Amino acid sequence: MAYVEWLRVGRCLKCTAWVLGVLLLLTVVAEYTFLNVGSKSALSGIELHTSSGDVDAREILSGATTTYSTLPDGTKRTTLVNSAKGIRVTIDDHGYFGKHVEIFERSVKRSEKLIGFGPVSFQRVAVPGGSMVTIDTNKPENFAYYAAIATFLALIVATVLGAPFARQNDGHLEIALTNPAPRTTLGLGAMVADVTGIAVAWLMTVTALFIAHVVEYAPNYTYSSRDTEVIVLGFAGLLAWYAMLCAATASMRRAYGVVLGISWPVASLVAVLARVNLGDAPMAQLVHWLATPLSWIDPFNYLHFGPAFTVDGRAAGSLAVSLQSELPALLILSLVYVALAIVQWRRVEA
Amino acid sequence: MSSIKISNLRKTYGEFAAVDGFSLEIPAGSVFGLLGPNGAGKTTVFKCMLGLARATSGIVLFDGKPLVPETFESIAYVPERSVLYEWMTVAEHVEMNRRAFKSFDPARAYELLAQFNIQPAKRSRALSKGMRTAVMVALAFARNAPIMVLDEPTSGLDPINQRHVLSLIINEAARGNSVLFSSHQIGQVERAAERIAVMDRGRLVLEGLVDDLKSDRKIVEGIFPNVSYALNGIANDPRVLRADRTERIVRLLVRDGADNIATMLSGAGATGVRVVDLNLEDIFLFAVSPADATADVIAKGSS
Repeated sequence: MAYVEWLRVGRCLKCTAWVLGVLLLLTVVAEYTFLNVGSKSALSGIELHTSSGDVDAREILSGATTTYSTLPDGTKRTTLVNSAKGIRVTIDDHGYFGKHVEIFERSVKRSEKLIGFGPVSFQRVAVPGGSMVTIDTNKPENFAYYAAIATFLALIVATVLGAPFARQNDGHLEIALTNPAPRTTLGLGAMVADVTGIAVAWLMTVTALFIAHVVEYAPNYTYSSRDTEVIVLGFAGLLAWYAMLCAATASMRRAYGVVLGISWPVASLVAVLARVNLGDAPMAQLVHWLATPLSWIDPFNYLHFGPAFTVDGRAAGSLAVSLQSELPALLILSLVYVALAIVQWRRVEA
Repeated sequence: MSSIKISNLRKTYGEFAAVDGFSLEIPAGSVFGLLGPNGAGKTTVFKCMLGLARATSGIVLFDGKPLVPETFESIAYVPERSVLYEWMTVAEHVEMNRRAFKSFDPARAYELLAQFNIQPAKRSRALSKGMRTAVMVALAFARNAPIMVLDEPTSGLDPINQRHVLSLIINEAARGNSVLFSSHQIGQVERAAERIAVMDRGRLVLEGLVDDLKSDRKIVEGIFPNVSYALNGIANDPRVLRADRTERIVRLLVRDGADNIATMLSGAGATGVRVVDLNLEDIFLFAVSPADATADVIAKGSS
């Protein structure tokens, strides 16, 4: 049975590789076509700024005076001054560590803005006499982003693989049950194969994300204990989710596809309904009252990544998780669901 | 050499007893045919034997020991319907068996598959019903298992491959292995099995060596001039096990004294009376056909 599950995992990973390959291709095309994130051009920061719709790079360059210099630390500085329009741009090229761009617009009042997307941050603030836009490219990137995205994709893979027992029950039980090994061993063997496949899918996603980055530029990674926490919680969540699907389908023969299909909307809805304040209406209270205990056994309820820190009261920076309550809860759920799945499957008859 | 002993096996689904007090002993090194009409409980007996279904009560022993997972090292099972994974190739099924069973011989499996003209690279979904059966048979016979349990092992096969499977079964017995198999094709069972058991409505109704069952029973057959006739108590003779009639024809299943019963039938007015040797189909049909018709004949004969 484990051999069959390994084959199934292999097929699933092949599909995953295809999907990631297509997504990677689309990302690379998008990077070169639209985003121009890693352009070697000295003006890439402004171009990015342009894409946000504030200032047109051509507008700045038209009639501007450009000077080039090298700072004592080796930073290459480009300064653009367009006196007529009251715009001054300073681009500091730190090489591998990206560019720092400052755009000052005289007598221009725009709304304050803070955008963080991976290695790029965009911040606009009001300064005396105008507004200042600061753009940083290739900032240090936390691995946690990769981990969170990979966890999401691995959750999909876990859902696809999440009914090993039901698949066996659906017309193949005679093969498993005439195997000279205890049912528990067979069941655990199948689960180990699936969990390994889920972990490989996670690694494949991280690799694809890495390739998507390095195709255009060398990412500036950082890794901290916070990233480890995101990875650990992600894996615990994957395990709990997979085990829950196994337990929910272990006695089924045919309708397991329905369970897998509705698992995401149901689990998401339960987690959300338990968390949000639905108001004081009796029906809202009832829904909340029903969703809360259900959320205790819902792995999605514990899989939430929050921002690590804030800038001026706004979310920014890396992802972070709390391991104090979520991790033990997910591990306990995993154990309980695995046990439930095995106990049910031991009782199934051909 | 392994033997199987089934004692008082019972399996119920709610109020319905699929198998009811079934007992059977299958000697080591024998070919045992299990016969029965559809729904008689043959497959359920196999499933309960092998732990695929939990028996409500009863005991099954293999070489005097209850079934444990390790016992399957010495039992090869072919279910009545295909349990192959449709998305897997035949070669992957061979590999699956190689990994699962120590005694599995992949070379033998490929040899048998070639004999059945099956390409190992094909996916199961591309195989016909008969070819799937052939794959399962090939995998089972490559196991070198001392006990083979085959549920309809020729289902869907063409006559050539049916004969091939029967030869394989006989070869297994010649090697000292036990084969328990079921089939609707009585001719096949007659050709391969030395012992048979007949099941009907969950119960064992007949069991014994095929030759013994055939030799100590005869059919006495006669034709009456018209449909209103009396058997003059012949049907109640203790040597008459069963009496059936179809219009003017009477068929009596007789144990011992067939010639004497034939004389009595002639005396009652029947013409063309003859004593016929039984074949297995006769034995089977007498064992499982409804008793009501017989009761009618006996009642008329008595009157």
